[in-house]
Amino acid sequence: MKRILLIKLTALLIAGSIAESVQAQAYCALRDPVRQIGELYPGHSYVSHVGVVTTDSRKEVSNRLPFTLHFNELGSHTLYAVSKEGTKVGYVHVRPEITRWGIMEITWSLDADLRVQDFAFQRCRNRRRAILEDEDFKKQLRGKSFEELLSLINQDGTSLTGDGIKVNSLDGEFAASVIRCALKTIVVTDIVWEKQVQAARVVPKNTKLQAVTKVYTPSVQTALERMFIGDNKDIDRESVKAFRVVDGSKKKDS
Amino acid sequence: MRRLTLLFTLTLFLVTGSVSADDPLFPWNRTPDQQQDSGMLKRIDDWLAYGDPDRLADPNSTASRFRNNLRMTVDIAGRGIVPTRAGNSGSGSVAFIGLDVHKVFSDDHGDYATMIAQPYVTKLNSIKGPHFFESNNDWELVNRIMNINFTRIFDERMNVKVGHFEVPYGLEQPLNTNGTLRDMASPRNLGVKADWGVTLNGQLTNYEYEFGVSRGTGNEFFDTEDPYVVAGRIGTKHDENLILGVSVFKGSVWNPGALGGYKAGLADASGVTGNSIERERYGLDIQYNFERPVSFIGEFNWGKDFDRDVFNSLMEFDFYNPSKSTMWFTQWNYYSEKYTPAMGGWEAAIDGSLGWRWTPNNNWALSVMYVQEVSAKHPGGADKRLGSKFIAQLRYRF
Repeated sequence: MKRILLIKLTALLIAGSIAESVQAQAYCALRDPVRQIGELYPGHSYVSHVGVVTTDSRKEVSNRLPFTLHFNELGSHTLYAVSKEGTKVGYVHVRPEITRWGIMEITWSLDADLRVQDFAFQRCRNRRRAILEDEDFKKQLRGKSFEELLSLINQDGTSLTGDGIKVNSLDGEFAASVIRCALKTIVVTDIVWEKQVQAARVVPKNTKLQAVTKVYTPSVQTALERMFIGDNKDIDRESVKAFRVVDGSKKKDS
Repeated sequence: MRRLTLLFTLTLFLVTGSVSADDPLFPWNRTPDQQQDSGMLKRIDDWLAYGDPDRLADPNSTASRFRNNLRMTVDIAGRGIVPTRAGNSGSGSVAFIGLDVHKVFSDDHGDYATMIAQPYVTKLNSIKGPHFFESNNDWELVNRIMNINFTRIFDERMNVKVGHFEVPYGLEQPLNTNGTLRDMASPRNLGVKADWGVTLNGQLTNYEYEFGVSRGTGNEFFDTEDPYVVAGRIGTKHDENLILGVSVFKGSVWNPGALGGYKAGLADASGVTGNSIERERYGLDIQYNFERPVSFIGEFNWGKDFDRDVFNSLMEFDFYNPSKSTMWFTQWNYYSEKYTPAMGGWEAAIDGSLGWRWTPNNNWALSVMYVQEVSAKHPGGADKRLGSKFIAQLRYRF
């Protein structure tokens, strides 16, 4: 009888391994990325949203990406919603990524539409981390959406494709792992914290943003000249960016 | 005896209630249909993670407010120990069951406090525990960490923590080894690992700090003999690969074991009474993460026990696989103190350990460690044989 009880208890404990909210480390070891939130969003306030990354979330991530989450990425995690004067302006989320330099943890800052705003390494053993922390690399990721980031890496996410990102050839694998982490962060945020994210979106979900390469077309220039501001030197036109909103749910004309 | 009777009565109540209930608590009392997807652990886990959906439907309910930003986990562990000394070996074990709770309090303006509560029932079986256990087979409710950190009084640069916290000194402050076989120097170097009190803590642009004042009694709060601890650490930020910290500790620690160790080095200990030991420490700690998943950590402590000079240190190498599910470590401890010339002057106790931790998923952790003493203190030429111990721990969190 005792043996049967023992077997049942063991089976229960094994079945209990599906418990999804737990984390392997004790909670006294948790550290909120408060300094990085302060650096990424100076003068802003933030509120935590604890969500559970489940095995279902993991499956959904694998539906959207050619790679998915590692087991230790499951469990309870926090999304920090950042606000300024009552308006939600973005999110901060820390996500690990397994690399050959060990686990890398990156604090990501996303805007209300889940585009990359900035990032900071919370843990990174790679000696070349300073190169990717430099503005030259960061500005290539800023403003990038999920689709744009996905186009920057190969099928399994292990290397860069084409000329989308300019880095030293030594840093290709490292840069790809950073982009992989960004993609997982965006997808996990969208899946686990859907309710919190949905309400603050500026661009509706399922729409795609396409960068407009030439903003000042001849017709725009003519219109500006009619308003006598065609040569206004107070406007830095090089920094002006425009995006086209494409409704992904509509079929293309044949 | 009364504790055992209470435990037995509660168990009996639970089991008989489960057998006769319409919806039995234990799965083996259910039909196969009832058992499907309704295991007890699964139900407990669902409740721990998500709570009661009906009660949570109202965002203004107490349950909903309590559940918001709450992490709550049951933590069960068993530890077996086989010590060997002078050819004789024994065995003992420790069982832990507790709750690990982490709750962030927020309002419309953002987060304002974080609470951590870790009450653990700890049962010793034929083994000597810390001083708050009354015997080698005693059990106690151990408050590992139990505090609230108020995070919005200023900003991230200064928070106020109140409750039971890890004494902010040395490597224990940034690394937190509660519930793991691997330990830092604090228990032996300071005589107190966690204590009741208040700290100021925060993160500056390039530095992190925590300074606290606490009771000096460890797990329990009492004021017999007026113990106290003032301690603090300031270190470089934890997200770099080289982390340096300096610490300071001054106090009168209520710890009969530590005082006994001090008295063993005196030719005449009759003038030393009570249970508190006067301690002063200055520490330097270092953590260095190599490019491959290998880390070095070290802690060096200078100070005094009453008027006796002390130097204690710890050095450790950690080796991980890339996903960090496996960790090997080797740790070396050096504890020395300067007795009077008649008692032998500087004497050192040195031990080395080799450990392994395997975390196959977020629920299970298996750890083993072998510790070998390589040198012992011999105050006054006292005979002291070297020993070793093998420890294994299985931990399950859900």
